[in-house]
Amino acid sequence: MSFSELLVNYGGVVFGALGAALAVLLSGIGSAIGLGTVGEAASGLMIEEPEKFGKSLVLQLLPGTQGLYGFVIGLLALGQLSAGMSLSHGLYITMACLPIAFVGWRSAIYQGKVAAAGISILAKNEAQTTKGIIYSVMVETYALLAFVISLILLNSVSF
Amino acid sequence: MDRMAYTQAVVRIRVLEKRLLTKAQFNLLIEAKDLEEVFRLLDETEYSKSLSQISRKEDYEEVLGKELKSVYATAKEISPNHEIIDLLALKYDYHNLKVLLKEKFLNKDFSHLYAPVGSQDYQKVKKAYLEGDLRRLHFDFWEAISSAQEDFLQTMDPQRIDIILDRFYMNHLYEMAEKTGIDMFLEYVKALIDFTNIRSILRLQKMEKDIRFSEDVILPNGNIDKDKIVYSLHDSVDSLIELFRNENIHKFLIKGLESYQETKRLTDFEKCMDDYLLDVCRKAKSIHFGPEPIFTYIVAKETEIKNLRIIIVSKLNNISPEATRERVRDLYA
Amino acid sequence: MAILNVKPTRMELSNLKRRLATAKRGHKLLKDKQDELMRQFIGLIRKNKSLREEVEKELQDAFKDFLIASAVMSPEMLEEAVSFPKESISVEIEQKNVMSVYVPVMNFKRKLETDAGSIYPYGFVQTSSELDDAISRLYDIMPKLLRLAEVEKSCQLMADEIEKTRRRVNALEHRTIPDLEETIKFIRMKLDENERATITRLMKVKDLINK
Repeated sequence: MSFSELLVNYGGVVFGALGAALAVLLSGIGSAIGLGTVGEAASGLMIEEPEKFGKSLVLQLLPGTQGLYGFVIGLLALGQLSAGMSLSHGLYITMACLPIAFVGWRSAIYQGKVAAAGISILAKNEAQTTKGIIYSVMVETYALLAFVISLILLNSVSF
Repeated sequence: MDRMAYTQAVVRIRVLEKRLLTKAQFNLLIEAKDLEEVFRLLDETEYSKSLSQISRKEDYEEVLGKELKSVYATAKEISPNHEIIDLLALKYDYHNLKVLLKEKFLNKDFSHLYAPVGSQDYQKVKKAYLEGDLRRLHFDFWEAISSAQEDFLQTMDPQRIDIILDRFYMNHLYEMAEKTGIDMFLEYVKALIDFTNIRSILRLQKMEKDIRFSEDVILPNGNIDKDKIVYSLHDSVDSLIELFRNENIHKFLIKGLESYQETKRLTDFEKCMDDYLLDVCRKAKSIHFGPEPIFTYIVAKETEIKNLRIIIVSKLNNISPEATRERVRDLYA
Repeated sequence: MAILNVKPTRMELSNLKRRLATAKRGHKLLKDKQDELMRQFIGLIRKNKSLREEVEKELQDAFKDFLIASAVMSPEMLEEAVSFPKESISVEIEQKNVMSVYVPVMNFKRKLETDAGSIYPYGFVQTSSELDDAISRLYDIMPKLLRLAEVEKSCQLMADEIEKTRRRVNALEHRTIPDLEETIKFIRMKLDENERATITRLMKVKDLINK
């Protein structure tokens, strides 16, 4: 069996799995970094003012959503996998997963930074924390857009 | 330098910054009618704890000293990188070296003059020096102390000890700032050099020193070229103002120079200097990832301590609130 | 008042008379000296007072300057800056004779005469210029302070001299001169008495002869 035959016969499922893995992997890493950044900032706040835990938790959770989106896309992609799927179907799944994978990855990191800055606002001026949350949510928009596109792509073409 | 390493530190600094005395509090302190009232006002602030530990009002220096020490201790605990703090602590190291040399040459006990906040443990430095084992010290200190010592043994002029150590201090500081690669620190150090240089030139004019002497005193590495300052020794204040009009620190500099021209005193100039340096540090307000806020916090805290000292000394000696206000530095907050 | 223990002879009388004349002349001279000393002393005291007030005021101002310098610098740095003086100043003392009183005249001698800035022994980076002002002010007061010391010491010496002179004047006025006068009177009376006795004796002898 030549390589091209192998690719045609089994490539579909491999690429499909790759797509699912990328979606979970990259956005998960991004979220972890983002959460880590905010968490570090928030723990700094906890040392001095532990009573602000509740509000800081909201800010910390924000960069976590990207990981969740990636996870959902990954699951959906997983549902379409089958042993005998065609190569084109597999590649299509990979492509469909890419938006949330990359956007989720980068946006989570940046959202983490904005949220960490939001923690600074919380530290200095508690009344204005909402503004920090809003700024941070702005970054979320693009993760959400990527998520929607990935979702639509996964379901729009049937093989 | 990894800016993300400071995320936690910055937030902690933000919380601490809230505890700095505010402008309103300072206004009350300045207007207070006597020392009693100043202490009563301070009792409602961060200082109340250390205030309760002294028995006499005249021991205020103890409170301020303790505060300074705790500022450096906190900063060291917060900052993942001590170089930032050493930038500011370095002046105390060189102060300690001066004390050390003078103590040795005068054969007196100056142990009460050491500042306990330097980047190096002064007792270790002292021990190494007295045992003649300078190699145990940081190379820059080693070089500084041996050249100051050599020079003194030749000239027997104690002023040279200070001048030489000052020069080494500024060079060392400049190199440290350069090594951090953070623009704000470099800008701070350069502005510090510029202001110090121009202040020195004005003081040298008053003391009727010559060019050769000022060549030793004026420091290199500033924004303004060293030679430009050295050769302005015989210029009038007017032409100094013209000369420095285009420098980028000019706004505060010119203000200070103009007030010097009017009053013949450098009181305002020094206030402008401190205000400008704090202004440089204000950039840290919008920095959330990086070491700048830690640096700025220490500067702000040192300014606060200086201001408190000015107010307390003024109250102790019945100096009017206006004269006090003239000297109180701008606040960070 | 007492009569001196002398023999009432003519010889003594003329001696005492001479002494009285000297004492009287001395008394007058001393009195004049005392008056002049008093005059100068009062002048000095006035000068002393005004100088003292001036110096005290200036010192107060200078200390205020110093305090301000200590307010803008940390105390350790301030003390370190002035801990090792570069300049040493000594005082030269000469003497001047005022009414036979030797009063001091003091002058400064600086070791580094040629260097105007030698009174500032510190570097320029860590010190405030307020310290310069305070030190130059203190230095400017020094000559006045020295003048004050001079005047004050003069006053003291003068007061001693006045005291001494007054004691002498008093001794002459209340003791020596009255004593001498008394004694002279006594001797004269004694001599007169003797004379009268002689006359009476002579008259008695004459009577006896006549009878």
